Amino acid sequence: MSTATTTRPAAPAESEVRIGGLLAEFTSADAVVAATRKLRAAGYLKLEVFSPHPIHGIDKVLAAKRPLLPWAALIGAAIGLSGGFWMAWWMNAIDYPFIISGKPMFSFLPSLPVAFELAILLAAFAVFGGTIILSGLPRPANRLFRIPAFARATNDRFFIAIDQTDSAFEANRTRSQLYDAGSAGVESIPILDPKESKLPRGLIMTALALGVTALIPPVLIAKARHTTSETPRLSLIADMDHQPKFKAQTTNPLFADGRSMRPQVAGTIAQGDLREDAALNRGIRSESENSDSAMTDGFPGDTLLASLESEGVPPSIADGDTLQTPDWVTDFPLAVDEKLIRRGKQRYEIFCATCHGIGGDGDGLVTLRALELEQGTWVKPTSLHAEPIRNQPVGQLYNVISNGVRKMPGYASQIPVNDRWAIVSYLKALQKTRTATSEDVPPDVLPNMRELN
Amino acid sequence: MKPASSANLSSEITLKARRERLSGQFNVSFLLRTIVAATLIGVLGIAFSSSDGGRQLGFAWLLNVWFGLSICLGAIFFVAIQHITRSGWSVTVRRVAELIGASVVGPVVLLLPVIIGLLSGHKEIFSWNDPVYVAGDAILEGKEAYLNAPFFSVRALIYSAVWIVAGVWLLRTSRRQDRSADRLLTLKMERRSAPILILLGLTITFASFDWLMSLDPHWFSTIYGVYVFSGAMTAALAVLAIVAAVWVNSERHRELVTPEHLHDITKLLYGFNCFWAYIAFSQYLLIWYANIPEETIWLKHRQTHGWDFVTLILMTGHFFVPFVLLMPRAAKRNPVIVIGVACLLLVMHWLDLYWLIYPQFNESPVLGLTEMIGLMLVISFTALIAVRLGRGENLVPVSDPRLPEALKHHVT
Amino acid sequence: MATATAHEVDNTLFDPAVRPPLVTGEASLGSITEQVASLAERPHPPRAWTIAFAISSSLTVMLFGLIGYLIATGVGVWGNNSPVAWGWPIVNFVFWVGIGHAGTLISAILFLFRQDWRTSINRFAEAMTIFAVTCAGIFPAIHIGRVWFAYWLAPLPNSLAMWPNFRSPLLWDVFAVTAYATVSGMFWYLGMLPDLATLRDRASTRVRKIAYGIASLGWTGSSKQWRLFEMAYLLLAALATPLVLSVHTIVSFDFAVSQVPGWHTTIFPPYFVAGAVFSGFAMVITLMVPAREFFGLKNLVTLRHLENMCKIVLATGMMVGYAYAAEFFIAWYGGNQYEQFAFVNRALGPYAWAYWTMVSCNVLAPQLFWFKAIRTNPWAMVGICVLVNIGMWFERFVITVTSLSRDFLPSSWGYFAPTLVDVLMFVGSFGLFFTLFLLFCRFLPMVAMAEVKSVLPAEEDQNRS
Repeated sequence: MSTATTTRPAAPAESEVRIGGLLAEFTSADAVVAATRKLRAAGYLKLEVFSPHPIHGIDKVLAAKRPLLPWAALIGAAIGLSGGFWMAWWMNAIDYPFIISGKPMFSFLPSLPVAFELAILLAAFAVFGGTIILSGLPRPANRLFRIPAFARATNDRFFIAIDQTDSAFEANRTRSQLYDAGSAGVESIPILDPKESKLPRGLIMTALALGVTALIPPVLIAKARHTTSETPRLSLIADMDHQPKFKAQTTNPLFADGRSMRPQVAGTIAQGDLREDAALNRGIRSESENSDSAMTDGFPGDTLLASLESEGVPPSIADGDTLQTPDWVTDFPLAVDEKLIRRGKQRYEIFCATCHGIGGDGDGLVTLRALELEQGTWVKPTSLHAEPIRNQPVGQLYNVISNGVRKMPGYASQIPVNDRWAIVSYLKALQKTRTATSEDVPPDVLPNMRELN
Repeated sequence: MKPASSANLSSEITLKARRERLSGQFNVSFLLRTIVAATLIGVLGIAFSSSDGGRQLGFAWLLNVWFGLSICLGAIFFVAIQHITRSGWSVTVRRVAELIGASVVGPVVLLLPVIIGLLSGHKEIFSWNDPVYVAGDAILEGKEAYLNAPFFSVRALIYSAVWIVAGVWLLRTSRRQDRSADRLLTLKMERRSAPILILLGLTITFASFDWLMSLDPHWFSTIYGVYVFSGAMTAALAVLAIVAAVWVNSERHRELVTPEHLHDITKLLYGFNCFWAYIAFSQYLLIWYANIPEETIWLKHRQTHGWDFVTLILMTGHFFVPFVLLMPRAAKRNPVIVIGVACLLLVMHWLDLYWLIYPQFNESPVLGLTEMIGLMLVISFTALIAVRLGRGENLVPVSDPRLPEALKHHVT
Repeated sequence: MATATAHEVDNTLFDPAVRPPLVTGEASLGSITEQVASLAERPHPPRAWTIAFAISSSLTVMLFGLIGYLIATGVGVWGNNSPVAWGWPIVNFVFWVGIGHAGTLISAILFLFRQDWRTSINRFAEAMTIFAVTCAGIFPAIHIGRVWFAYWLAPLPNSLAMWPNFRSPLLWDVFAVTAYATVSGMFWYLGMLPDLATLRDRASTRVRKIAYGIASLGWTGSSKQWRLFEMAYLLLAALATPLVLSVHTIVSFDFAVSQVPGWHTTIFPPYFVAGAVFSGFAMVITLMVPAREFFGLKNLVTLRHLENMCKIVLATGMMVGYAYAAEFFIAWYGGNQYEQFAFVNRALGPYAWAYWTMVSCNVLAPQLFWFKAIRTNPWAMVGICVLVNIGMWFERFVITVTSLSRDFLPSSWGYFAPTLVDVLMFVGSFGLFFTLFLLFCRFLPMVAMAEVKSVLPAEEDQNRS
C-alpha cells in the first residue's frame, strides 16, 4: 500500500504517453466533497468519487439522478402479488379443484399470505438484481485496481477519478487542478490492454463445461417424462416397491402343490355364503325326498335340464345319469305385496327389459337392434307370455334369472336374491295382464279403466 | 457540550417559541364553548324525546366518547414512546401530543353518564346488566363475577385514574422543564414512561374488553385489545400528522416543523396503519378459517344486512387507499396529501369503532343526527380542554435538552 | 488498533443533551478497517476457535448422520405419535425461525427507525439469522417422511398432476420461510459487498484475493455504487420489515387456524412475532458478549449497544407476558370449557414442569433487566438471555404438546415423550448453527465496517453539515 505524499511531484516527462485518466487521493470526506464541487465548477462533468463509506451530500454536488430502483421493486411486487393469487385460483379452483371442509374453492383471504410473500420475494429480487446490474457489477477487471494506492479506497481514503474522455480533460492541466483542489496525491490511470481484461480462457472453459454438465440431468428428466419405455422404472428409493409377499398366478415353494393361490378347503363355505334356505336362494323345495339335492340343486346345469323337460324333451343325456329335475317351489318364499311387485317392475325395467321388452314380448331394444344387424348368433328371447313360460313354477323362473338359460346369461351376480324374487313376482303380474279379464279387476278400480281400441 | 454552531440557532428558536402562545385562542375557546353548549342541548333533547329508552343515544354516546378517548390515549402512548426511546426529532411536536394526551380528562368525564346508568340498572346498551337476560344463560352466568355493574365501575375508575394521571403528569413535568430547564426531568420522564406504557397497555386492553367487547357478551377475541390499540394509535398519529402538515407551511411554525418531521410522523402513521390492517386481517382470518359458530357469528353480523357495505368501505378506506396514496416518499412530505389522508383515516377510525359497536345496536347500519351530534360534542369538548390546557403556555418544550436536535433535524 | 481494555468505557450514562459516541476510544476509518478485517485475516485461527469448531462440526456430523438414519428408517424414530403428532421437530423449527427474526429486525427495522447504534451489530445478527433459518428449514424438510418427494411442496408440475394446497398454512410456511431465507440472504450479501471489497484489497494470499474478489463482484465504492447501495438497502429494509412480521405470523397460523383449544386464539400472530424478537435478541446477546470479549470488539459493540438490546429483550418479554395474560383471561371470560381446561392443564397437568419453566424463564427472568446494574453487566446478561432462550423453547413445546396431548376427547389423551433421536437432532442443530457461525467469524467481516465508519463522530459531523 503506497502512502500519500504531501509534496507535489513534478509532472511526468511522458505527458505524450496516453493515459486513461487521473486518480486523485483525498484524506477526508470533507476534502473530497469540496474538491468535487470545485472540479465540477471547473467543467469536469464526468468525474467519479470513490469512498469507503457513503458520503451524504455528494449526490447533490454531483447532480446525480435518483435511481429508478423503487419502480423495479414495485413491478416485482405487482408480479409476485398477482402471481400468488393466480396460482391459488388456477391451481386449486380450476385445474384440480380442492374440495376442503366447506371452504370456497377460491378465496381472497387464505390466498393472501402466499401472494404477499411472493410479492416481497420478487420485489427483493428486482432490487437486488437491479442494484448489481445498474452498478455495473460483476466487473472483475477494472483498470483502477492496477493502481496500488487505490486499495485504500475501501479502507480510509477518498478518491476522485477523471476519465480522459471528459471534455475538459487535459493531462497536465487536470493534474494541477486536482492538486489545487486539495488532493494528497495524483496518479495516472493506465489504459488496459483489452487482452488483459478478458477472463482467462481456462475459467471460461470450466464454466462452459460445468454449464453443459449441469444441463444433463434436466434433459434426461425431460426425456424420461415425455417418452415411453418398455423397461420398468428405476426406483432409487425402493420404498414399498418390493414387498415380501406372493402375488397371484405365481409359484410358491411353501406349498406342496406349488401354487400361491390356495383353493378352498373342501367343505368350507365363506361366511354369508351358506344360504341354507334353498327355497329362497335357489327356488327349490327344501323338504324334497332327496335332501342332498336341496344343497346341490338349482345350479346352472339344472336349468337346461329343466327347460328341456318343460318343453317335453325327455332327459336323454346319459344313461345311468342320476340327474333329476329339481323340485321347484311353486309358492313365493317371501311375502308378495305391492311394494315387492313395484320393486320388481323397477328391477325388470333395469335388467330385463333391454332384451325382453317392456311388455315381456321379447322386443327389447337390444333384440330389435340385434335382429336389425342380422348377426346370426342372436336368438330372440322367448316371449314371457308364451304357454310354457306361463306354466313354469316360480322357483324355476327364479332359477332362470339366477343362472340363465340357453343364450341368456345368469344374473345372480348382478341382482340380489330378494330382487330376483321381486322380478318373478312382477313377471307373474305381467303375465296376468294378458290373461286377466274384467272379473279379475277389483270393483273399485274397474270404473277407472277404459276400453282400449 | 452543545455544538457551537447550533447554540445561536436554538436560542433564537427558543425565543420565538416562547412567543408561541395560542394567539386568537380566546376566539377559538369561545367558539368551542358555543359548540359544546349547543350540542349538549341537542343531546339532552334527543335523550328526553327518545322512544327507545335512550338506546340509540347510548350507543352513539359510547361510540363518540371512545373516538375521543382513543385519540387521547394514542397521544399519551406516543409521548411515552418518544421519551423511552430518547428520540430527539419529535421534541417540537411533542407538546401538542402532550396536550391532547392530557385532554383525556374530557372523554373520561363523558363516560360518567354511562357508568351511572349502569349502576342504576340500565340494560339497553350492556345486555349483561339485565339479570333476566343473564339468568339461565350458562355462559353469562359464568362471567357474572366480572361483568357486573359495580365491578365494571370500579374498573372504569381505575382505568380513568391511570389515564388521567399519566396524561397530566407527562404534560406537567414537561412544562416544569420549560421553566426549570432541569435535565434530570428528561431522565425522570424516560424512566416513568416504562411503567406508564405497561399500565396503558393493560388498561386499554381491559377497557376495550369491558366497554366494547362485552357489548356482545357471548363473544371474545384475545387480540381485541391490540386491535383497538392499533386503531387508537393510528388516529392519534393522524391528528399529529395534520398538525405537523399545517405547521410545516405556516409562517410562524415553519422552523419548528420541517418536511423531515412531517415525513417522520407520516411514516409512523403509515406504519401503524399497516399494523392496524395486519391485526384486523389476523383476527378475521383466524375466525374465518376455524369456522366455529360461537366466533363467526360476530363476523356474520358484520357481513349481512348492509353491514357488508360498511366492511368494504372500511377495508378500502382504512387500508388500501392510504396504503397506496402514502407509499411514495414525496407523498409523505406533501402537506396536502398528508392532511387529506389523515382526515380520511380519522373518519375511518370513527367508522372502525362504528363497525365494532353498532352491529350490536341494530341489524343494519343506522346513521343519523344522534351520532353526529354526539361526535361534535365529544370533539369540541375535548378540544376545548386541550385549548384551555394550552392557554398561556409554550407550544414547544423550550428547555428540552434535545430541542436543538429537533431543530436541526435534517436527513438527506 | 483498539484492543480489549481491562475496564471498558461506559457510554451508558448520559446527559440528555448529548448523544454518547457509538464508537468509544480513539477510532478512525483506518483503525476500524484494521480492527475488523484483521480478525478475518489471521493465518491461523485461535486455539479456542479450533476447539469450538471441532465440537460443533462433530455435532453437525452427528446431525447429518441422524438425518440419514431418519430418512432410511422413517419418522417413527421420533417420539411423534397419536395424539401428539407434532413433537420436537415443529418446536425446533419455530424455535430457530424465531431466533432468526432478531437479525432482520436489527438490520431492517432499526434501520428504518434511524437507530445508528445498530451498525456494529447488524452484520453479526444478520449472519445469525441466515444460519438460524438454515437450521429451522431442516426440520420441516425432514419431517415429511418421504423427503425425496419434497418437491411436491412447490407448485411444480408433478406426476400426480396435483398442486399444493394454497389454503393450508403449512404451505404458506413453505413460501414464507423460502422468501425469508432468500431475502435475508440477499440483504446480508448486499450489505457485505463493500466489506468484502475491503478484504479483497487487503488480501495477502492469492487464494484470498481470488475468493474475496469473486465474492465482492468488483466493488469499487464509487458514488454511483453507493447511491444504488443505499437505495437498495432502504428498499430491502422496507421489504424485510413486513416480511419478518409476516413470516412468524404465518408460522403462528399453523396453530391458530385450527380448532384445537390452546391453539385457536386470535392473539397468536403478534404474540409469536414478539416472542420471536424476544428470543432472537436474547440469542444475539448470548453470542455477542463472548464474541466482543474474545475478538476484542468492545469499543465497537459498547455497553450502550448491549444495554439497548437488553431493553428490547425486556420490552418484548413484557409483550409475551401480556399475551399470556390476555389468553388466560379470555379463556376464563369466554366460558369455553375446553379452552379453560387447556389452561388449567398447562399449569397443573402432566406438563406443568414445562409450563412453569416457561413462565419463570420468559416472564420472571427478564424482569431483572429493570435494574441498570444488570443491564450493563455483560455476563449477567448472558445468563438471563440463555434462560430466555430456554424459556422460549419451552413455550413452543408447551403450546404444541399440551394442547395435543389433551384435547377434546379424553379417551384419546396420551403423554408424549421424546426419543434419543429427537434430543440429539436438536443438539446437532446447535452444532450446525455454531459451525456456520464460527466459519463466518473466521472468514467474513464480522462488523459492518462501512456502516460503522459512516457513524463515526467525525463522519457524523460531516453528515450533519
